[in-house]
Amino acid sequence: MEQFLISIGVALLLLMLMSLFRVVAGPTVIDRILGVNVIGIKTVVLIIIVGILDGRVEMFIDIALAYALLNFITTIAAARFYQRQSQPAAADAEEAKTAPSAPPTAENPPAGKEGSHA
Amino acid sequence: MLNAVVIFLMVSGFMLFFATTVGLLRFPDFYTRVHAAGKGDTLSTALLLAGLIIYYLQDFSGEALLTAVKLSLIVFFVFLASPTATHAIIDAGYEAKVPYWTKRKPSADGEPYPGPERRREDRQI
Amino acid sequence: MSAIITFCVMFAFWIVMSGKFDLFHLTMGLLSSGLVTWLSHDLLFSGHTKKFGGLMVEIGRFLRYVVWLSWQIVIANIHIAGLALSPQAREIMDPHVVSFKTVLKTDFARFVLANSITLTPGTVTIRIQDDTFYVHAITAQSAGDLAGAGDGPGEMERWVAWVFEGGSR
Repeated sequence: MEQFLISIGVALLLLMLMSLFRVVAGPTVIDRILGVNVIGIKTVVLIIIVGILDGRVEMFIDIALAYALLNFITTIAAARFYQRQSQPAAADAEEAKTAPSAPPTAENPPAGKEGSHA
Repeated sequence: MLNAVVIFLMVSGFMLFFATTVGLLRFPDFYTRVHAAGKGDTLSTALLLAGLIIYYLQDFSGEALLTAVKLSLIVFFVFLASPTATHAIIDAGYEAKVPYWTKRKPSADGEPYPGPERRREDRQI
Repeated sequence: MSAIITFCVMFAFWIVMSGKFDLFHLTMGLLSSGLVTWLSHDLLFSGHTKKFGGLMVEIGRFLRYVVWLSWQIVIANIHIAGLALSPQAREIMDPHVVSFKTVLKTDFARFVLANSITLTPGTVTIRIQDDTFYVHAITAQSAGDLAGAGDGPGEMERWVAWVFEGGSR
């Protein structure tokens, strides 16, 4: 049974390396955040597998719980930061008055975003 | 007997994570990758952790029960947090106008996206 | 009312996390969960002014909803795994955005509906703006499931409305 847990752990590690390709190559920043999120959730499982193999789950479980919380908050913070940064300051002030931009239609391109080329 | 259950749960969770990773690598654009990552994560994590809980509870004691409750708390938290994180990521990507991939043609009845070749590339990331 | 529930949740969480039942640890738990409750009792269950019985009914309905949702999650994972592993994924896929108006009133019900949409087959909530949900659907069929028949709310929205706001399912 220990053999099985070790092989599952190693296979998880290999899949996380595959996900790392999306983090390294991902065309946009937001793709990288997504890849990091996937890796982080699986790290929680990996920590607990290591804990069971080590025979000290009651210690590793707290680390895993803290890691899960930290991973969630990191993802949210990174996404929000990226969202804030990708909006130009002028359009930001304009959007504060109106409601957040509705998804643009084909005939009705989003207004107030023309200055976003820089 | 219980070991068979553990192996079944963990292997199925592993297969789901494998499919998630393949989807993350080969889907064409950011939005479809979010689909793969956001859904595959929750159930595969839950299945893997459920297998570990059953394996750990085999030598039963009070302390083991407490640890199992903590593990179930992690599962609960992942089920709550993963869709929220997915939503935050896809909203940020939508706001930043990440290029998308679609087969639909622009239409008059409020179809939000134009055709596949006309990407919204007014902002490079 | 919300303060009492918050305190009970916090104290149960403390007991599970500490795992010690002597007087010192329990007193520390009482003090710290009391402090957290005092600081943030209006955060967790805001807008809940219902009586205790109504809350129990809501929790019971919510548990039945969770059972239904778990089955939907399994279907969603098989769907996305099949799509990711199929050789003609790009032919099957038809990504597009659908929007629909919701009938739900409270923020918590909308939060539950948005998370449920994200967890079920082929759809991810992009944003909720005023009363409108914007949902990214990966195949044409999954968008059809969401909208339901005609103009009325879809199956999932009827479930959520039944859980949190009464009414028929």
